[in-house]
Amino acid sequence: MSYSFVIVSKNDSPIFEYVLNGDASESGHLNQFIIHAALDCVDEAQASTTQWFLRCVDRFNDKSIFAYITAGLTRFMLLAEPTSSTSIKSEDAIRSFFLDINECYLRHVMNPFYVEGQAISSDSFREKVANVARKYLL
Amino acid sequence: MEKTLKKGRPDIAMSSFSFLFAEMLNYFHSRASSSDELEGRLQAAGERLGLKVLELMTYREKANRKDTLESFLSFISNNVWRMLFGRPADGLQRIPADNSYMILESVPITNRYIEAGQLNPATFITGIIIGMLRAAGFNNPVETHVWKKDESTNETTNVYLVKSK
Repeated sequence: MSYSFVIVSKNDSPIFEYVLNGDASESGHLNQFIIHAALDCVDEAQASTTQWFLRCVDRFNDKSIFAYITAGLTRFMLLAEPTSSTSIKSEDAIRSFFLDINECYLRHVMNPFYVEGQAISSDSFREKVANVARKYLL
Repeated sequence: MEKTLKKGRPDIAMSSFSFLFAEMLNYFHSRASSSDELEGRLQAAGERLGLKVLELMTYREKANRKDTLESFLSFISNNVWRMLFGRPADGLQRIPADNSYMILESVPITNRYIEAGQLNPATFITGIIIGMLRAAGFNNPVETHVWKKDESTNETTNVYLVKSK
C-alpha cells in the first residue's frame, strides 16, 4: 500500500502533506490533483451525515480517497493506493488513523501562536503523523 | 511533556483570570484611541480563541457535527459555556421576528468587577462566539447588548445577539 495524506484548511489550501511508502517523483502530482478534485465530493458527503468521518468519498482507478472533517472545517484527506502484494486497509483502521491524527492536530491548534489556516511546518507534528500512519496503515 | 486533553479539574482562580484580563484591557486601552477601537481589539482577541475552543470541545464531548444554527448555539450555551465558565448560560432564546437568537447571561465573568458603561468588557466573549461560528462555517454577525430586565430594580442582563445572515 502507498498513501498520501494531506490536511486541507477551511479555505481549501493544503497546510500539511505526508507520503507513506509512495514514490513522490512519479505519482505525487497526480495524487495531489486527485485529492484536490475529491474536495468537491467532501462537500457533498458532509451534507448527508453529521459524522466527522466521511468514509470513502471518491475513487480514481484503483485509488480510494478517504476524508475526515474537523469541527473547524479542516479536512484530512487520505489517498490509498493498493500495490500488488497488499490489499486496502479496512475502514475501521482508517477511522482510527483519522481519530489519532485529529488529536495530533488538536494539540497543534491549541498552541497560542498557531493562527487558523497557517501551514503546519513543525517537525514533531510530522513525526507524530508518521508514527500514527505506521501504527494503523502498514 | 504533553498535557491530557481530557476533562480534568479545569478550575482557575477568579483572581488569576481577573488579573490577566485586566492586564489585557490595560494593554488594549493604551493602544486604542476610542472605546469602539478598544472593543474591536477585545473582540479580535476573543475570535482567535473560538477555533481552539470549538475543536477542543468537540474532541472532548465526542459531539456530532451540528448542522443547524440552533443546535450549534445550544451546544455553545450549554457545553462550551460549562467548560469556559463552569455553568451553562442563563438562556438561549429565538426571536421569531427576524430569526435571530440571543444568548443571555446576567453577569458575564468579564463584567464581574467592571461595570458595562461606554465599554462592555463582555465584547471579549462575543469575540469567542464569533470565532466559533466562523470556524464552523456559520458566519453570522454577533452583537453585544445590555438589556434592562426590570426598569424599577435597574437589573440588567447581557445579551449576545446572533443575527441571521
